[in-house]
Amino acid sequence: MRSAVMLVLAAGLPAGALAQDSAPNLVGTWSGPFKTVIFGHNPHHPGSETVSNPPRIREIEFTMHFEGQDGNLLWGHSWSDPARKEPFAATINADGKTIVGADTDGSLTMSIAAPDRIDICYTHTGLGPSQSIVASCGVIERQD
Amino acid sequence: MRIAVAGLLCGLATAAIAQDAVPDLKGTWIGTSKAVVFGNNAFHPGTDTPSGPPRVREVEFTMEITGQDGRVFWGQAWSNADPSIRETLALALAADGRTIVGADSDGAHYMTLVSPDRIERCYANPGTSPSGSIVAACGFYERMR
Repeated sequence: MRSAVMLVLAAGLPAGALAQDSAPNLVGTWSGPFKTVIFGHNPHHPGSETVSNPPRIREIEFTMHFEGQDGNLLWGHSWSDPARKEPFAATINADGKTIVGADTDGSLTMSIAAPDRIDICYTHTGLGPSQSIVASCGVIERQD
Repeated sequence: MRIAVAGLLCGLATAAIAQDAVPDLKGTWIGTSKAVVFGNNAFHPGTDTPSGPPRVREVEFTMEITGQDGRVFWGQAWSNADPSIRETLALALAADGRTIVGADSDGAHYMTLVSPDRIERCYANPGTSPSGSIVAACGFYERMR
């Protein structure tokens, strides 16, 4: 029994340590649908609504292009309309799974669900130029 | 062995349902948040400035979720010290079924659904807000039935 435990520990520990140390390669194009609640409007959610109007529920397709990666650091552009791309910067946490990031006016929270699938949420306070208030979650999958 | 496999399948099915089912979060949630505040704002009044020392405060808040459409929901939040000042909330539930992110006019919300009627709610407010205050706070909120 003791040798079995030792074997499991010896085999398991380096694998766990390796998993924590090596950041997964996320470079590529990822896209998927996002469900959003928005007060007001912005370029991704056009309209004439203001933050004092009732919220709107919208579903839009979003693309994130992870253009570069240096260890746990990631960067690229995201868009719902290819004519209007927004830069983002993100970093993978020590757990190798959680990602936090920011773009010009909002915050990104992601979780790597599988090598080619990321659960992603986005929030945007009323402090941005559009003054819209946004919360959104979706799932993006690697396209290339 | 057959029983064990059946049990495993049953467990997997339950887990799949748990992931797919979106909890109904509408209602009134009340709790106390412990906050560290540089400066002052409507919820943390005073004459302190962001360059002064921080204050640690405990404030009871109410969060009223008035609408929900699947994984997105919305409502208002206010300090029970002054219910006349209300913040608009936009919130979304992540795919794990328990992580909630959100935004209001000047800050970001990070919540965890601990149980059907209990949420851990954290909030951060950068100094770019009109008040210039910098705030971080966490607390547990219970749904009033």
